[in-house]
Amino acid sequence: MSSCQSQGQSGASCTPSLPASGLPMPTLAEGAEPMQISDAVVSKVSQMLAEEGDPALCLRIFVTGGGCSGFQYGFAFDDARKDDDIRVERGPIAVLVDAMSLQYLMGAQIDYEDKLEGARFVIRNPNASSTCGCGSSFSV
Amino acid sequence: MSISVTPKAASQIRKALAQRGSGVGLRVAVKTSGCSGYAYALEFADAPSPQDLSFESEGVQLLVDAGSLPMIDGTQLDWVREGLNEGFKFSNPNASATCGCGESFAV
Repeated sequence: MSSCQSQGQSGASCTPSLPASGLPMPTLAEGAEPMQISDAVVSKVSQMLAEEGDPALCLRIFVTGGGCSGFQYGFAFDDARKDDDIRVERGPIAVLVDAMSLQYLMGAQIDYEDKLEGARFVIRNPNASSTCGCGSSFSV
Repeated sequence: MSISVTPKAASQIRKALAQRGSGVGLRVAVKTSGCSGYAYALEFADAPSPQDLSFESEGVQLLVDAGSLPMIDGTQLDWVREGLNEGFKFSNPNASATCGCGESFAV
């Protein structure tokens, strides 16, 4: 995903629409999953893994610095689980999230949208105080 | 003044129209929103509106309302895959800044 590119001298930068509020991290109820993974994600990832010919691959979701709002989401396939990963299984697919990224993704809903404009993984994140553009960038 | 699409974007537009089962082309509009002031909006077009200008590019029909055209004149629409996501990407020579995934821009 591209980050925020302010290319002109007009000072038209990407100002988040809401101020950062410093919301506390949500806590999970006993037995609750750290993230909710939608049926659309399960269906799309299953299809992609079939195309890749490797059903053992996991969907890795991660957070990096960047984007107009300070953080951005990344999505990739990975076959290696790292020591600090959590693994969330949903039907035939598994999602990996490293410990640093999990801090920002706790309680989030992971979805896949297939619209005229494009098809992409999206995250509805209760930790984000603002998001930017298509939602690939957020602040906390 | 005109806008255009790449062969990949044209192929995606044809695919989307075929899946939908009807429609003459793609309408490209500009709305005021997003972090950079303006955002692109895409929709299926069933028929040209009186205020639409029509362009043909790579065999697909593109409709733009006359008011939006100056802000997107010369824009090329591409279909790109970025990681696991794919979508339309706008190369707009009038944009002085873009934001996030490129759906928002300033002129």
